[in-house]
Amino acid sequence: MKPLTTTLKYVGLIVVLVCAFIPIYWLLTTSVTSPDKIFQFQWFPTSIEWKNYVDGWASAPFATLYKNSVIVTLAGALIQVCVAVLSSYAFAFLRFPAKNLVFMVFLGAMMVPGTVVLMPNFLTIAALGWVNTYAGIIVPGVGSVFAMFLLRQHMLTLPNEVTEAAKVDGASHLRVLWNVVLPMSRPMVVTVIVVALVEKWNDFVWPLVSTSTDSMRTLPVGMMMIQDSEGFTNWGAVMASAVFIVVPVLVVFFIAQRQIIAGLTAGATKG
Amino acid sequence: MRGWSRRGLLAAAGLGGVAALAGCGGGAFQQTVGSVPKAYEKRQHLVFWHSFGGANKDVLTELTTKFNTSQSDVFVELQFQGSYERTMQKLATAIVAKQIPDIVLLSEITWRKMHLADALEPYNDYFDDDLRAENYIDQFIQEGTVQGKLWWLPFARSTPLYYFNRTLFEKAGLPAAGPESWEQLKQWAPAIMRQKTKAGHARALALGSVYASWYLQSNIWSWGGTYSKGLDVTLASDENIAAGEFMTDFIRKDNAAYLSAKQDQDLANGICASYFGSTGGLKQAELLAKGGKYEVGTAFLLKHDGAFGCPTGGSGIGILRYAPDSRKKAAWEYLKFLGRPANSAHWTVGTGYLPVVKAAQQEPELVKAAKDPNQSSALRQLPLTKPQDLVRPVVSNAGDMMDQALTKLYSSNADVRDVFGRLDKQLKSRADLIREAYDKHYH
Repeated sequence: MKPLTTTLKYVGLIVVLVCAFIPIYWLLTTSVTSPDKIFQFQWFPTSIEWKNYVDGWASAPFATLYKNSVIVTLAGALIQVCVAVLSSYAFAFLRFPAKNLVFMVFLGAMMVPGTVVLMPNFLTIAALGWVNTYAGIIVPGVGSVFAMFLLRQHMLTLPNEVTEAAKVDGASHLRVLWNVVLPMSRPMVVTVIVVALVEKWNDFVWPLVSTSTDSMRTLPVGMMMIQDSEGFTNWGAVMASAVFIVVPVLVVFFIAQRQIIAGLTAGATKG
Repeated sequence: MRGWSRRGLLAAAGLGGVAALAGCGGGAFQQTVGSVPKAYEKRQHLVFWHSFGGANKDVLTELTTKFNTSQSDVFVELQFQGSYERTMQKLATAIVAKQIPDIVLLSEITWRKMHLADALEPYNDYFDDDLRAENYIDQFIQEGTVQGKLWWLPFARSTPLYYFNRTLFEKAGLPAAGPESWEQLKQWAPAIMRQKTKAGHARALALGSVYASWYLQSNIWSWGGTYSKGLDVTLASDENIAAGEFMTDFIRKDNAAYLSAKQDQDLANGICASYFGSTGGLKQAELLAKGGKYEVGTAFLLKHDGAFGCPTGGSGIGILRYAPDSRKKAAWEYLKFLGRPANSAHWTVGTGYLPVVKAAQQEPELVKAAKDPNQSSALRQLPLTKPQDLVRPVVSNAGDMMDQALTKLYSSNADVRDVFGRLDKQLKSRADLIREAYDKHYH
């Protein structure tokens, strides 16, 4: 019985691994296939074409795009997580009038699709003179109700006794947040950070709309610049550029994955 | 990249944008943010919003740099704004925010919206001895003209073209020039489908979902119908239904055509023997043919009963009405530069778009390129083309609604009369929404 379940488990794991691996494998092999062969079906590339990477790098100002993407992603995610942590603490532990009503309004805002707020957001940053600036790209995206909601739900599950005990010892709200709530919420905070990083890194529409010049564009916008819907597109270069964009995300995931597992096992209160 | 997301956007931009513009008065418009290199600081700065990516962007950049170095008064800055629909969406927002570019690339559909929103400057008073309206191909000028005024200057214009796997046709014992009519293709289909290909057997024809209504405009005309007369929708006419039923029979009874996601790639993999594509797709098709070791051919769109029809498409350039006169005049200098026969020919050879200036066809660069029979089919077909029926470009979201209905016809057993009947009603009620603005501008 036991060997059978183990075998089944391994088969299941292999299936999941293959499903996760094939798209990445496809991206990597296509990125080294010569452009005229890309749409010929083949499991293994017959020859390695590194030229795609040279073409890809030359076809858009990738150094600038990288710099902008890193700034926008790090600053955006950091501010977003700070705002989410502070506001979720308020909703979970503070008492203030109409708390539930305010919370409901926030949740309601989650239902509004992003395309709807595109125009008002643009008008706002235009009035502030923030078009084509980092502030213009970052600030409208720092308030994430979803991140706040995730953290609040998690904080509500923390045992009251711990925070009460800290208060009895004379800890202020910020101290409770920093020394008690945050360490106990570590897996959720890491999750929120990873979601925020990936979301900012991949964001396309807002950076496209809020910027104008090549010097302010981010990587996903750069990807659009090297393909044309009607005319000729060098798909080899496009795939190589996709590798440029995907690699940092993979690195972040590999690092964060360890953190998430560590957080899950080491967190929570002592039994 | 051109799939569903654009449909939603177009709906939002088309309706929301025009509605927002309608409520927008005069006031102080500023130029949108840009960057000017040190060497050009003292010049008149112009911002050009465009939608070209890949090789097309490179050719436009090359021409613009040439313009910037050829004189000492004007500096044109190119700003990429994504697809035609996104560019229009951003333009609509920018006009409300009063931070505008000076010139914008607009598609055959988006310029109509901007014209209805009174955002464009007519070109008539700008033409001079260097560049006259007559220099351009007549159909293109005709398409950009409403009530005697030209609002949209031809630039990256294209038409549909018939692409086929010549090697496969020859193997089936068929003429290397390709079919001339639908009847002929229908007759040849069994012979084509008997040939062995990489994918087993190829269907005779792949139909796309993106821009399906642009391609079907040809069938509608050659069957004697129209999508609309002015703003009056005539979609459910007997001629149109006959044209639609020919297509569904070809798909369902003859099993010779099918709905494809990527027609040019299907051709490369031996899944189909032919498809309709834009003239701009030739370079891609030839590259795929090289990789697949077959020869790709191009031919005119297909006739029916001797009748032929081919719509025009692609994009042109609009000058923003809100820009100050000095910048409009500077913009005209740039547009004149693009309209020089040598530059128009260079653009055509580099991108695959049609030459918009008549004299470009005598330029050595284009004469040389046109020796390729695949390039010359598009040029020879050009005199036979005309602007599409107005409902598709003018009515908000009409093109997408039509494409969706055709996608359904091509991929299910839906009845043509039902689908066209329902679409006819939907388009009529949509058309009524803009009738007032339309009557004001078009009558």
